[in-house]
Amino acid sequence: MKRILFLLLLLVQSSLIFSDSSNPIQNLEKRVIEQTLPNGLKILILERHQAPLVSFQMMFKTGGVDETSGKTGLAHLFEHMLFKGTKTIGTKDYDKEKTVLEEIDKTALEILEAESDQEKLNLEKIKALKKKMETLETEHQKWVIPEEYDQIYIRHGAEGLNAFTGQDMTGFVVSLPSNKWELYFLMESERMKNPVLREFYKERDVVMEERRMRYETAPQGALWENFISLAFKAHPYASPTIGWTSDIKNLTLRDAQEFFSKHYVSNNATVVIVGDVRAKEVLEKFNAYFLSLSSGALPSSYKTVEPAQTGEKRSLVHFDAEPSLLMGFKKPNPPHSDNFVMEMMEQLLSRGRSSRFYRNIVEKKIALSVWASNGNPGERYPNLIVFGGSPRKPFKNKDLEIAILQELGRLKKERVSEQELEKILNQIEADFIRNLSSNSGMASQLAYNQVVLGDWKYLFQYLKKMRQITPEELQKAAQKYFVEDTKTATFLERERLGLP
Amino acid sequence: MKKFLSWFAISFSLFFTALDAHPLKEPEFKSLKFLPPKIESHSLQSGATLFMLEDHELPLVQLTALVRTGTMFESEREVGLASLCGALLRAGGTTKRKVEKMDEELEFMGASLESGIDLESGSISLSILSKDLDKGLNLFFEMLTTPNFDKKKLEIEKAKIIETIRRRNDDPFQIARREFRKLLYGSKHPLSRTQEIPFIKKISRKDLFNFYQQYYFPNNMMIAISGDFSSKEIIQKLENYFSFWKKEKKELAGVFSLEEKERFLKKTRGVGFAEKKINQASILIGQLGIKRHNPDRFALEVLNEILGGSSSSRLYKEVRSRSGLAYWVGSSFSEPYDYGIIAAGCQTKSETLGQAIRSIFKQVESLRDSLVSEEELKTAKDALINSFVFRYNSSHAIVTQKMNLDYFGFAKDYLETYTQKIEEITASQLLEVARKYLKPEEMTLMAVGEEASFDVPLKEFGTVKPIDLKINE
Repeated sequence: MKRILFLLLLLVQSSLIFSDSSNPIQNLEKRVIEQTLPNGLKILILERHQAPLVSFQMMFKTGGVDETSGKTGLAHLFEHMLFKGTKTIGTKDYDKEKTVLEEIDKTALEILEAESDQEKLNLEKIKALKKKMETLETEHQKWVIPEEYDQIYIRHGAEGLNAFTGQDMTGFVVSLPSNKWELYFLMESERMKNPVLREFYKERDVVMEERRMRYETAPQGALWENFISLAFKAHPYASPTIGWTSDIKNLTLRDAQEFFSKHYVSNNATVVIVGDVRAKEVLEKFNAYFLSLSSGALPSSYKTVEPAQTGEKRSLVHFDAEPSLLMGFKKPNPPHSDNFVMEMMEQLLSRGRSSRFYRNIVEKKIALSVWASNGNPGERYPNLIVFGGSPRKPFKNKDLEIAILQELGRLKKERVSEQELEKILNQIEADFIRNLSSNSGMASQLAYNQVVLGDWKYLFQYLKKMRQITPEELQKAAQKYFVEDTKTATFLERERLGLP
Repeated sequence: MKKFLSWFAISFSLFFTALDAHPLKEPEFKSLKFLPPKIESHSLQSGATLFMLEDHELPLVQLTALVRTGTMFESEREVGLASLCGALLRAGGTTKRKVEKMDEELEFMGASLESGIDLESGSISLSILSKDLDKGLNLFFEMLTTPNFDKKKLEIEKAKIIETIRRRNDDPFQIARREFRKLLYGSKHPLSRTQEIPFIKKISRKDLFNFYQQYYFPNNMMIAISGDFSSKEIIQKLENYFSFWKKEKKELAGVFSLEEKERFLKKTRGVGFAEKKINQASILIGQLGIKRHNPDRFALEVLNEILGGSSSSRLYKEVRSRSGLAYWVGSSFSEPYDYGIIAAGCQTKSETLGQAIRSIFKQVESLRDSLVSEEELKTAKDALINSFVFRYNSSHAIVTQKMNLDYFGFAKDYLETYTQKIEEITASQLLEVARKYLKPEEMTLMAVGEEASFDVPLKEFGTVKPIDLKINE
């Protein structure tokens, strides 16, 4: 749990919709109940009574993109910290615990300061401070009830207790047997009102381990991080959500507290509930639990604008693994209409066994796998359509790159047939129906559309937008966006190039 | 999103002794009233068993068939044949239709049809809008009864498998899991053996046909169907399709399994080690445990929740929260047809590997040394019992669960009595199973990482066996 998902969007975007009148799922949009408290906190409820279960998602419009330089990884580390309990959960006596916590924070800052003076490192002093820290942490453990927050949920039968941080947002998810739904309000309002960021410096170590696991020892993670940070040079999308190692090491409890008060305000969040509940009952309690949450000025949305790219960018990741590659092109973000055209491209190229990539690249034995994904690494700002894959020996990254480019070239030269477009639309419709059968799937789509794209109703307009796309538009967009000047390509290879 | 842990729970004793005075006041919950829907089952004339659950909420039908086969039936010299057969059943087209045409037709309907073979079963699944059900059934049966195993497509699938083998040392944790199984079972057991390039290259279309004919016949399969259909009609339709496919009388091949004495062969700790120049080590620690249907499984399930099965387990609290040594740490137990594995593990930076191993052993030993508190026991049991209802998450989950229990020969009342069996577990039973199944001095360790950076030499934990990761082309 408590992990970041860099490919989250792959999941979110298979989210689709139905809106023509022959549609058997009529009025679904009308079944979604929406309310906003005076403090700006929004709730969406969709009743489904098929099983005695209910899924929840609380999403904040804050993520990696909202960090400042030097503090990368803060949004994600903070997400971890929200599982550490509150003034009433996870402690034997908060008043006594607080004194020790303050001492720990003070000592941590002294260590940072001592270590930052690179010119004349006082090793004796650092050693003494670290010793003091150890003693304090042992002392602190006397007051802690470890993992009590998770434990309360789990004891009541919770499933899928988790959270994720992306570039654009942070989400907290859980499902419960429906008789326990009110527990959700209790637990979430508690941690939004009174979180205690205990064991912060240990959790920072945990995140370092997460970073090693996902990005430093995993070839796909290393490739992704390298690729994204090459594609963007000025916009904060360039920095990984998990944070750069040196930034994570320097994050402090104070940074986390500040991040919380700035970003975790009620008017920056949406709660979504899908499942076996009665909306009327839920809304009554919603007021009672969340009305006292404080709203605040929303953090500045200013972000450095990525300057226009003026030539292809390439990089190489040297890694002890078989080769793989990523390639991407810059493009606009939603609601720009070309974004929907790119969604269609993704499907045409890589959806299923009859897709172009599968037929023309995998079946020709050039690659083990090859895929397309629109909207990376986030969708709040102009982003990338990304292509990735792993060549099959004796083919190399270079061969796979050419094969992908040939498929993109075909989209520029030839019009897509109506039949092929119809197939994609039918797949999207069928997917939408399948997704309806999952409470948690619906909850995350509603939350994502509301928080990141700005309105949950977009979920229900998606298919209509897709239906409007013409073969001409596809061809035009291919010609406009699949160009050398906005291209980025990264290869992961075992062999070094070698200098003369 | 947690891949390696299941989501149940455990408690911390101090919490409960202080429960009355706890500052957090929980609301009162109504009891959960839920009667699981009744599954209709029906024996088709062909000998196949059918499980049905109508659900007209969405215009969708899902069908899953199980065939009694598996990679466990392969001989040692043909490893890979079964999974190729499962994949090619779908990817190789039929004698009536090229696979490209089948793909187009299915995807034009937004449908999916997939086939595969695992360790202990073969499966075929269809997901389709109810308006297209007849077309879907037609393709389903065409594939099942007249597969073509097209030679060109076989070469493509073989190429994919060979490339996957070539990539199997890219991920350190994957290496640890694979080599751990080999240490425990030896390299020839169906639960540990791996596909190798020279064998894959030799597999022919004829081999696939033979394997298919050996296992794919109507009285060797079960079908579960859920969604928007009529039971009466579907029975009739399936009877029609099956009437063209004949019953067979075939003996299934024998399956390799361990002798009772082999399980207890290892009396000293052994350490497997694979070198990988990375900054984080993967470690797995464990031993062989129980087979499916062992009555101790209920106690072991509770024990596992307490040890490392959730984010409030002892391992999670000690290794992750308190010490900051790992992001992933946990434990699990499996119960396949032969002895399964009971194991714990984590991924930690090279410099703290020894510390993490000691910490894991300490938690394992704590379960053998003393009784878990009544509070800790109750929390673990409550978690399992309260989350039990998630097994009824969707109509298809309900109907396939019923089929699976039948396939694997569970008692008819397995589900109905499950929560009661968990409820009855006592602390002294847990101590008994801990002492019976967790023997730290006999456990096998598997480590992957950069040895030069380890804080403790691996030989402290037993005789070290270096593992060669070379892949034969």
